[in-house]
Amino acid sequence: MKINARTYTWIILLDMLLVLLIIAGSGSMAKADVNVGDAIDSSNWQKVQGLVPEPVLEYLKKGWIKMKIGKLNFEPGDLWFIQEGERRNKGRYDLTANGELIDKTTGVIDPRDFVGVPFPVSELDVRDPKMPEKWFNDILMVIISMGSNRQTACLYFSGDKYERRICGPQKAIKFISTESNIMNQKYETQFGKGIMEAFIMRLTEPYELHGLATMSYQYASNTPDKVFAYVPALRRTRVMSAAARSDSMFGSDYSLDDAGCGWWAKPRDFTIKYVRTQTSLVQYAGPDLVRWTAGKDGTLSLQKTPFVTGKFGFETPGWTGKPWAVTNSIWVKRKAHVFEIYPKDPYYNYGKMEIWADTKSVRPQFKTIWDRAGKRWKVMIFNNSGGLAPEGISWGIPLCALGDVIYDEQRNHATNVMETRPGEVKDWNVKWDPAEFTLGGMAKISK
Amino acid sequence: MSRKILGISFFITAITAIVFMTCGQSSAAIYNTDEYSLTGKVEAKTAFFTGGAHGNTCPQYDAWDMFKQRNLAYIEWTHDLQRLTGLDLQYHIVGRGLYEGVYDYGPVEFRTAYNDNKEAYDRYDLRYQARIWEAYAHYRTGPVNIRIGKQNLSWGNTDIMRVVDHINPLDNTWGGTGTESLDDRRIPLWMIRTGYQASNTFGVEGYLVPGAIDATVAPNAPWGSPYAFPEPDLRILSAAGITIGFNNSLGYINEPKKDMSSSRLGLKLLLPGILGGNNSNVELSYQRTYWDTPALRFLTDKGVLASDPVWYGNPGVMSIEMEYPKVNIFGLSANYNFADLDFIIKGDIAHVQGATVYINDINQPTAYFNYAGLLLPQVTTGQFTYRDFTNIGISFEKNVWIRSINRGEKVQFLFEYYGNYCHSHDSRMIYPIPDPDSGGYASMGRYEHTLALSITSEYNMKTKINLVTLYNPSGSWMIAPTLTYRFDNPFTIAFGYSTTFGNWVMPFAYNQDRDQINALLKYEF
Repeated sequence: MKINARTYTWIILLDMLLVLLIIAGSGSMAKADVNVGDAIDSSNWQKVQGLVPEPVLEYLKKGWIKMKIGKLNFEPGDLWFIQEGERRNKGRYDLTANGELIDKTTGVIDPRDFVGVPFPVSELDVRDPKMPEKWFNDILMVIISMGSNRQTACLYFSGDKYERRICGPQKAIKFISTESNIMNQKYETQFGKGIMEAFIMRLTEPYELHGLATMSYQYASNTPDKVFAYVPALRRTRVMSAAARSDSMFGSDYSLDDAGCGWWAKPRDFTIKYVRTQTSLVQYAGPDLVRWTAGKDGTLSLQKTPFVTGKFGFETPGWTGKPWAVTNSIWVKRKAHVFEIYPKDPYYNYGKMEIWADTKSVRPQFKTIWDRAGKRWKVMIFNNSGGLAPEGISWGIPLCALGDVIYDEQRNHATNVMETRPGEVKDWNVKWDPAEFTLGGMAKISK
Repeated sequence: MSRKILGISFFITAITAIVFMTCGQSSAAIYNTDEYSLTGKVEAKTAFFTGGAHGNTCPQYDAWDMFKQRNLAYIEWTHDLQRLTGLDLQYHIVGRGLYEGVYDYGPVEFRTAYNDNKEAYDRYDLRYQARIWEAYAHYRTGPVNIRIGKQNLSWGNTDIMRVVDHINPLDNTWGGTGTESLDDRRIPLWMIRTGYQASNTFGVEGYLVPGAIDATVAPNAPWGSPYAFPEPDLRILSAAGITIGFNNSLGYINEPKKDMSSSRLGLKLLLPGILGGNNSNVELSYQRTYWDTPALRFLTDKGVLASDPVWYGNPGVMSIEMEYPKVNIFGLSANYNFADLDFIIKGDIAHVQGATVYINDINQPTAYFNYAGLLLPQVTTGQFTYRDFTNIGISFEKNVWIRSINRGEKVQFLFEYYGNYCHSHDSRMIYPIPDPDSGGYASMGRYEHTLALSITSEYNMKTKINLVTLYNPSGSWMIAPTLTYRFDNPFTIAFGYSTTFGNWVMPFAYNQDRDQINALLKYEF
């Protein structure tokens, strides 16, 4: 068949259009690429364009942060609760119209006997309109599924230079998502029906905040959370508004909902939209898993394990970037789902939020926050790690907050969080006495 | 070397050592692990009256006279014994040192008042103090908590004025509402405190202050002190040969005896969620404790009859006697969290049996007797007077974004209403604090009201602005702004101002003579 020039032209144009459509639909608009070993800074930021959120790219351009591209020697998705979710929960759970978890086999709403993430990652389809809310239910359960724990955490404050830090022990008791946590449900009368988690943080440093403590109860149902604060100046424990979850925590740039490695809120309180899936660069504290050691009563501990945590700009000699930047991490390529989140509560302090979440481990990699007037406000960059349980137990236990930062662009102020440092207390699977997490338990730590 | 010099030397040495040990460090405890911590603070507060004393008040200070130069040091040690003992047991010790310099290098009026009334000042260690301030052990087993030792305990919901919270006495020699924090004014007591949290909806807490160990009551500022109520210069009366037993060596301050009959005790039922749901807490309490405001009466020397004309020839027998009554307090405290509105309402109601009141005709009766045809007045022995009160405090609290004021933090609003109702009210009831100008007394109404508003905003965890306003609808205001700034990490500086104006009505009108500015420098470790 003889093709005339006009037809030939149309074929070329159609081919070009087809190629453009394929590129546009590939989900990866990266104009550049990086390789293991690359060092990225303000001179070659273009290499990571499209692989990180826009504000992070701006920080790179300005020289505030630098990146060293690396590779992981483990798969972050090989986490115990992700694997248990795959093994036990396929097709088992759904969400009601009100966003409540429902066990399809029993009809029970807000069941609390599930182990692992309720929605197996392999079953989460981006075409499912409920997928975003299911995803964030999984994120929340991963945070809560870290098990009852104990650690000493610090928040570091800096503007253009390092200012100060506040530190104190934290402890949490969980009531879902592992078999030992579920055993705690028999203490429901002490905490209220539907309790998911009770958490206490006490400040020991600096002196002016010494003795300040907060205790919060989070519930599975629509029951509002309970938040208490012990204020030494008043010598008593006060009830705080549960809406305070989006208020500043201890004067930091974090809110309580940010503190759970980026997401510690109930998905049903938000409208969540899936935006796209793409390749991203994610910060990790190191390439290797960190091995926990077995302690008493099945407690796992990191206290005697050497591991790498984030080193901040203010403690790095010769550092010229921002004091809150992590200077010793590696950045690795991962796949991310990008979500937009809008609070339903008119009193929630944040407006729109954008979270990039790892497609395998479900956890947030970046979080950008706008204020209610629509102006960009804060940016969170996580510094992840992975933990491995002792020999003989094939658990992958995530570690987070080894130098996470939240930067308030409007105030030029940042808070870094360090959940633990080598040698300090970091225990998981702690068999708590639930009475520690009551007002009576608060009485013990109050002055 | 005298004890005083030794004590001051030790104090200065300790402070210097602590400063050098922590110099250059961030504001962190000297020792701070999960098991133990050693922390503390050193502060110096200076205050000046912005106006001179007016009317018939003692002492007659001038405007811009320094009335406070208080130097404080706290050192705090906490030790968790769980690792050593296997028990959930910890102990906590606080040492406090104080040196008030105004009696040594302040205005001559205050130095003279101190020297003329030294026994009263030293009775409460107002010039120099070094003591164990708190010392207790805390043990927990399951739902039971026990704390034994010298400690503070606070019940109730209101923050600015006390309604249910009458466990620890308040130090009335420290400074008043709006200028000093309530917690700094609490005096720790040796007590046994225990709590039992049975469930999410029921708990019990109780305390006992054995009177044989601790019968401390609220001290009263001696006359001539910057913190005393406005009153005439009693030294004039002394010069005329009239002995006044009020805060002087005659010592007619009837403090409770140190025996078990002076014990304080309290019991509280905790009923969270009783109003339904997760949003509420209710507490019912009963206390048998001492009222901070002593009852007072005039008395003639025991054995001298009121009609004795010898009184005029020997007027030095009039005295003022004070007594601290024990009261029963039945309390109800509740709070409710309107989660959808991000708003909390909380409050206390207390029925107080046997609080002090003052009726001139009863507490300071005047009899008349005929002497050579003249009807002469003569103060006779009075009686203490008490009444029952129902007091209420309601508090509304909300944090609000006002970005034009503060882009980074919410502004905290705390509004409180306080009301007092006097059962069996008598129209002759007054507050026995004379107006220094008119000499008149404010009457005590059947109903008394106070409104309080506190607004606080914090910037970058460095700067805090606070404004406290108190208003009595009978026409009296108190306004106290404070600015606090944290610099160079462990150092804090604060400036405050306090003014009271309007009609001579209580409870804070006596501050009218004491408008002040103050400055605080604090070092924490």
